[in-house]
Amino acid sequence: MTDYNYEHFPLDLDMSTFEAFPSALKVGQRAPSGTLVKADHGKLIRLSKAWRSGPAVLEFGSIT
Amino acid sequence: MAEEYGARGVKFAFIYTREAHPGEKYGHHQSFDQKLRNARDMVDAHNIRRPMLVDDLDGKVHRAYGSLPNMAYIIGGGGKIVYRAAWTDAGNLRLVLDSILESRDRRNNGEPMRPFYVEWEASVALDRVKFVEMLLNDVGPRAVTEYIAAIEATLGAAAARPARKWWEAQQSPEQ
Repeated sequence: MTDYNYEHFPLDLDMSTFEAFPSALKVGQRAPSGTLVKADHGKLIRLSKAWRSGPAVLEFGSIT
Repeated sequence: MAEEYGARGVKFAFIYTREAHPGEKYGHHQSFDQKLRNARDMVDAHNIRRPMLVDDLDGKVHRAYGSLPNMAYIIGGGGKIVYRAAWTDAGNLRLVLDSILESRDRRNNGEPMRPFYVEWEASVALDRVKFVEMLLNDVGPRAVTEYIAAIEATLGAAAARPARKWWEAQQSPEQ
């Protein structure tokens, strides 16, 4: 099991996570919410606020 | 795109995760403060105007959605997942958003509509040389060597050859 914040890019990480993706969640299921920090003001916000009044597009990523 | 669809009632958010390819300039996150600083750097470097949301240090939200480095989701107004993609592709998102908004408008106009399920395997351009060039510029040489090693280990030397050749050329003397 690789550390979430791995220091070195794992040799096999790409393959295993991409293979597991289709079964991780399904269309039609409730979207997981959670608490995140908004980068500009540093305060906590609930992710579910994004889709409270209509559709929301979530993109995940990092600098690299 | 966020502005165009924002005017039609769609909200956008970018969720900052672990560093997929840690290196000299941006290493792996060891504290939340460091993660927040990196996220702010990314907003500036890539001129991100969507709300930038930083996941906790353990990546709780990122892991709940499948842990991939560049996923995209569309969540319906009621909180149900309507689209999930292993890769963010603007053209693909546009197609789906247009379809979602058209269905919404027709439903609102009183036309009976019923949902149907779709699965789709799409493709994006693959250029590993361009990718390692980006890694070298944005994070440093360690991310390049580790990525090339991973491609060689999982897909074989042939898959990694163009990137490996480019990297060796970078290291050889100029003349």
